[in-house]
Amino acid sequence: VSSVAEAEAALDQVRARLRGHGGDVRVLEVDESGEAEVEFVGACNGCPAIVFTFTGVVEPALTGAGGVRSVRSRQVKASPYVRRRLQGPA
Amino acid sequence: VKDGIPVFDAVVHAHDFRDEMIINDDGRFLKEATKGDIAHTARNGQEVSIEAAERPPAHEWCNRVLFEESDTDVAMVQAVPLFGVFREGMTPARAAYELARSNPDRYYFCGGVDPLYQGVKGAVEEIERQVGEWGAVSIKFYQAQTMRNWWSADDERLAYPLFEKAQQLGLKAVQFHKGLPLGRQRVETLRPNDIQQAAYDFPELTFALHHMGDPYVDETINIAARFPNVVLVLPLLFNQWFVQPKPMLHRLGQMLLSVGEDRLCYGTDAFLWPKVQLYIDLIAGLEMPEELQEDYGYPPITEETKRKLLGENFARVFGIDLAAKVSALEAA
Repeated sequence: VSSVAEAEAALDQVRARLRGHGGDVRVLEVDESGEAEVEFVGACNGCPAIVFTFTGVVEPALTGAGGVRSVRSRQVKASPYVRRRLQGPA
Repeated sequence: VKDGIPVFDAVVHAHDFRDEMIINDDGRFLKEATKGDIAHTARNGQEVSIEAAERPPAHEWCNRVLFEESDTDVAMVQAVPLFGVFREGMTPARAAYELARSNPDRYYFCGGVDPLYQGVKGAVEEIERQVGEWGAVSIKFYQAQTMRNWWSADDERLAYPLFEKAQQLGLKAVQFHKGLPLGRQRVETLRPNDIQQAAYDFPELTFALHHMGDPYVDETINIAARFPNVVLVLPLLFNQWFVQPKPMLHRLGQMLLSVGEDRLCYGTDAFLWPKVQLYIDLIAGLEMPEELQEDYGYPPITEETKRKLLGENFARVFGIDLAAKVSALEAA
């Protein structure tokens, strides 16, 4: 995965889980270092569970596809503690 | 400027509590209640001005308090169009304009109208006049005039013509007093829920909500989180901080977590609380304790957070380049 189109394709496997709640996600960019930026839309925008969706669903789908080193979203604001807890032991 | 960060106070007032401006017992109740309420907030270094709840503050004093005795660079003087108990409103638009005119390089003027007391047609014409003659950059609303007279922001006949006129005149934002009844109106008529449909129907217009909708804080945060054209202006948060620092820190944490740092705006509601430097120093020294980050998920408070909160966010709403504005003020 090195392009927005490829990253979007990698998300297709999990998109139904977001759409089932009236939400969705789109990839804004994948930069040269392999960092992807995503934007949540629909019901995901402003959802209190966004950090779960990001950490448990979207991030693994992208990093698991290879080529994406990390993922970020301006809409995920929870503290680093929450992110580490949800990611579980390394 | 505080530690290199420009300071834009989103809301100061020129309340007119003189007896001759009060039209009924509810007004007299509000005047006494206001004096009592603010007296209780004089804690931990916070000062109050009972004098400002008696008569309009002198312009010279306002300018000194804001621009000489604090790091405030610019401020918005906002009308409070509460006509149900005051002849011209709690802060008459005229009084707000006159204060803004006393220091036009540093003040922005926010007018105020009401579709119940002025009629829709009258309110629309008054928006036009306040923008055209007085240079209003925004319009403030206070929707709960009395126990039986209130209006909703999603009322297509009462409210939408005002928003349409504001947009037609090029205004970027309209502002609402939410929660925190000023007197004996029904608290639920100041709930923020009506903003949802209005924000949905006017996506190019920013809706600035004041006071976190207290006591409807959760609703206010939820609405702001879901509607990108809603921003929160936070005078109550800082006034109350000196009475209840931990609950207010939790409120700020919840807003940062759910709404984010891009849509929270510093404001003081001066001049009932004239020592505004306290608030600026408070924000400059803010940290989110590690324990609250871990247990509540609140994000850390960074220098970027403070820069946005202290002025960048509110300036962005109005298309103001705050850094350039402050540079011009310093060069003058």
